[in-house]
Amino acid sequence: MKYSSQSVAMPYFIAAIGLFVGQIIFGLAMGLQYVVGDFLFPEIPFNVARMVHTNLLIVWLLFGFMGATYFLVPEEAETELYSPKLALAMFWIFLVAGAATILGYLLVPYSTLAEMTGNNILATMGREFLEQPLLTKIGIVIVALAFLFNITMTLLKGRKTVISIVLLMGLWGLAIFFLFSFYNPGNLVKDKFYWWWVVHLWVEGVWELIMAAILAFVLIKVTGVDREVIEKWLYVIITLALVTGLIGTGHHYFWIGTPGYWQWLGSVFSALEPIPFFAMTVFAFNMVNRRRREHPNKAAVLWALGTGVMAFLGAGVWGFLHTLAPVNYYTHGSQITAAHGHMAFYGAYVLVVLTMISYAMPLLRGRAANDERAQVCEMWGFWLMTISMVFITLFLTAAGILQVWLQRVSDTPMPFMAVQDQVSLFYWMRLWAGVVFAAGLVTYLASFFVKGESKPLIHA
Amino acid sequence: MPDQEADLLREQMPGPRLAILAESLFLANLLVAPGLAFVVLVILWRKHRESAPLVVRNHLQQTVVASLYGGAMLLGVSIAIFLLGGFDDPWSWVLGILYFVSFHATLVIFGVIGLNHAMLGQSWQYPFIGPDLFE
Repeated sequence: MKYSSQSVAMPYFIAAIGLFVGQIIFGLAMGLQYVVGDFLFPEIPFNVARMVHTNLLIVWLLFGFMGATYFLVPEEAETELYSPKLALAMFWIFLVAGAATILGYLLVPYSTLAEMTGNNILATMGREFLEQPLLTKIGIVIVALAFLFNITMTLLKGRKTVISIVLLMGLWGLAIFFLFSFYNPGNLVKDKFYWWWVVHLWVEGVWELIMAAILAFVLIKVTGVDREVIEKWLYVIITLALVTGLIGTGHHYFWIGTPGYWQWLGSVFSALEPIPFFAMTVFAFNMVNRRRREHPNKAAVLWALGTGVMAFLGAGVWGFLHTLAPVNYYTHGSQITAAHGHMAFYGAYVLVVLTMISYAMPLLRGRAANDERAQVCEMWGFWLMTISMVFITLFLTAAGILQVWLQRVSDTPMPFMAVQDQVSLFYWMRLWAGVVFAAGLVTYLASFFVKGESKPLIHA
Repeated sequence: MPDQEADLLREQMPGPRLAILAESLFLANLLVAPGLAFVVLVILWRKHRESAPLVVRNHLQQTVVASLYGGAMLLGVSIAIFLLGGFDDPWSWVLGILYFVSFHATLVIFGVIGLNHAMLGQSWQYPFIGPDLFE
């Protein structure tokens, strides 16, 4: 660790991993609810478990992005963080607000929570992924503004690099697009139209910038490849991401009341969306293949390569699978969407945050890399989680194809719940794959506690 | 203008261009121009298979053979699934789509690795479907 203020990243990473564990626990509970419908009912009904599962994902990834930024920016800017105290204060505010929100979901009926938190003043609740109460949303904006102020001021007083500027663009975009969560028009078409400006323009827009910047930073550090080479790749990747992803929003506008031209725009541009992920895969392999040194942190290199491959498969291939309008006509909102969502989030965002944590955590603990045994344990965690995620995706895809056929293609279509019974075999298989994923997560957590001889610090 | 700024592509991809082209055509055959990219690849292979440097010959040979075997396995098994199972059986679709997507994605990942080796001027053998490398 080159700058002492980078240490504020540590609590962010710990909170991210803690919330990740919570997300997986609720994922397993839901996996069981798919096949044992009254499991945990009425204490934690499916809709609440799902809300907690997805909200925890978003919150822990945000913790991860913030931690990654606090670690990355001082090093890139070659200066201490503008205000480490502000960063720590925001950490606690965000953590308390996040925990209170999750407890609110679990302990109070959602409608009561809405009444308690001022939803009658400005109605923003009740929409998928943006279920947070108004107070939490305002809290997120305050935390985001303070965070961006801190980072921007740091950057302004230090060196400006392509990586830090791309990262900052992504983070500002993240904050700006979140503001559309406060716009909740009565017209359902308009509601959905702008809802995607948060959801889609985050994950298929500005988050890709954040991901590419973090990946580029780690690759510079672990490969020793010239910054200029990596920066050129970064320019290409973010251009491709924005050119395809922005108008690619159109793949959410099929048959929801928007003009018909969105079917063409959405299909064409989102068919191009795999390209930046493809470029990222080539980029990660290329940098590792042309590395100028053998970095002792082999686990971080593995996470970085995994990010490229899994993001391409999950976001690129599985996204393309159902993105064309004539295909989406049948597959919309089926388990194929769930398959894509799982692998894309895991490949693109979970893995990039874990890549950064894998690289930064040993440095934050005063060493270049962990002991070999700890790294082997960490890499087991990687493989268990990644392979099980591949199987989760395959089983959900199978369930989705069967669902689409029985419910929408067949001459004698079956009702939704009858179809759920027919695909339950795949839900069981998905559940067991989820159990293996949880075992992988436990293995990953255990790697932090494996003691041994750590590698001394080296200077990049 | 300094020399190193004059050729950004060369700086990023120091490997032989023909090898890079062969791997790119392998990927293009899978992704954007199936059939057409393969025809161009075969023409390149016929033209350069004896005269090109070793690394280039390896990439040409690997991509042509991997395209043939890979394509045969991709299409052959998929068609067989539908012919044996029937188009009206939902399980044909479940198996057929899963097989096609998974195998296709695997070929693409192999192609990415091949492209990287070509960009760095190294030979690379496709797992399972690639012939032995020229020594």
